[in-house]
Amino acid sequence: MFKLLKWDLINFIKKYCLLLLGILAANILFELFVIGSFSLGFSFEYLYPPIYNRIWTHLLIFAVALLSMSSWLHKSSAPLIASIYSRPWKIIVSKLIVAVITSTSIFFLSEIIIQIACLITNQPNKIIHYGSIPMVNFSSILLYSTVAIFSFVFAKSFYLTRKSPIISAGIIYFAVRRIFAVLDWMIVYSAQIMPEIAIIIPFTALLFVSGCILYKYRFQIN
Amino acid sequence: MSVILSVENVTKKFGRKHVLDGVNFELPAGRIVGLLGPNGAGKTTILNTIMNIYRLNSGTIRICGEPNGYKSKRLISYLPDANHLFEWMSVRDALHYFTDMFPDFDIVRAKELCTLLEIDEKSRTQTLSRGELERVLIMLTFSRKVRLYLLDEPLGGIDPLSRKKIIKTIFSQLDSESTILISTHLVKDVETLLDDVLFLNDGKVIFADSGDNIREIRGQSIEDCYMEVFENV
Repeated sequence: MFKLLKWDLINFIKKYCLLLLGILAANILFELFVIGSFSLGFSFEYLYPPIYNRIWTHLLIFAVALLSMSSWLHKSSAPLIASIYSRPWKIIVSKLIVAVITSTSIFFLSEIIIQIACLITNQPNKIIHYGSIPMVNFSSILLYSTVAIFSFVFAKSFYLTRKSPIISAGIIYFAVRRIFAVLDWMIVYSAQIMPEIAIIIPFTALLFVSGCILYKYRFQIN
Repeated sequence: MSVILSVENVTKKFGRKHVLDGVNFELPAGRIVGLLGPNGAGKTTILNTIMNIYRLNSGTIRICGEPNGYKSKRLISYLPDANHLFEWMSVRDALHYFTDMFPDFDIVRAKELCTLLEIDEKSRTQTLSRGELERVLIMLTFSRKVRLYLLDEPLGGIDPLSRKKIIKTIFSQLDSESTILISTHLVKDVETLLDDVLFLNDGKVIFADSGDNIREIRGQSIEDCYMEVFENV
């Protein structure tokens, strides 16, 4: 498991180092000049952050999660991936960890860089900083990375969606996110329960298990 | 003799086209088997279904009696027809990767093969020529100790000197416990290697025999037999 994670991380960084730096830079610019005050738009529907902020953060998490699964996109490395004998949950969890670490790092580094920039230029920092990333935000990154990975596994599993997996994964991601929003509204908002316990963790676990089962039966068993 | 690979009524369709159509064969241990056929016959598709890269439409594949799944992958070492290593990898990176990912990978054997096949460990796989890359992939494939080796066009586009080295490596690897399945359309190049042959055309096995039978009973070389069979299709 750790060796799988190690090579997934190495492969991810070596392959997408420049692209990730680009995403980081774009995120900083977006936060500074478009939003002006930082807020986690992806967190929950009832926070109602600006729509462009929500779209941006969702796009970022979706893109990073898809990149972490990119070995499957490349037909050339498919035989190498297919040679590895590892349980499906280990393969998925490894990709998920890579995606979550990367997304969290991008948000966290953006925050640090913005704070430093504000200090140097002697400007007030309007941006609400993470400090240590609150549990609810971290679990949101985990949730939406899981949704993205599940969407991609689903898209690659069926003939119709496999033809254009990224677009299909995007549509599935949006649909699953809407389902989550409805459940979130019904369970958390009405009953005033902690969102992590009431919905985020169970929903993430359900998607993760579904993704593993789908992966096992569509990619590992003939 | 134990059966290493068993393929029963395997069918694979891409859209409406049958790429494999009821393929049946068994490979016993200790043999080098040639899967021979023209381009588009379905050779690579068979290997990819054995590796679970493609999903079967029907039929079963068993490796050493185990149904084809992630557990059976520990029994197979696969050499695809193109570079499947990550593009940023050097030969040394590939050695580390295989050491970590495959417990049956023998690093001592890999170093020996690097010397034998004159492979520079520092070179990046993306910058290698076709022949050099093929030697690297052969080295990685045969440094694993498994029961079934699947080689897809291992000699395509290789110069005669490299070809000789690769054939020597393939020969040296075989023991009574393992089997090598070589898919190619370059019959003459692998003729001397083969114990058995399977001729594949339009997704069907149209001929199967041992090399000895072809040579002694039919009085033909494998290439002549191949020409005869495919001219009459």
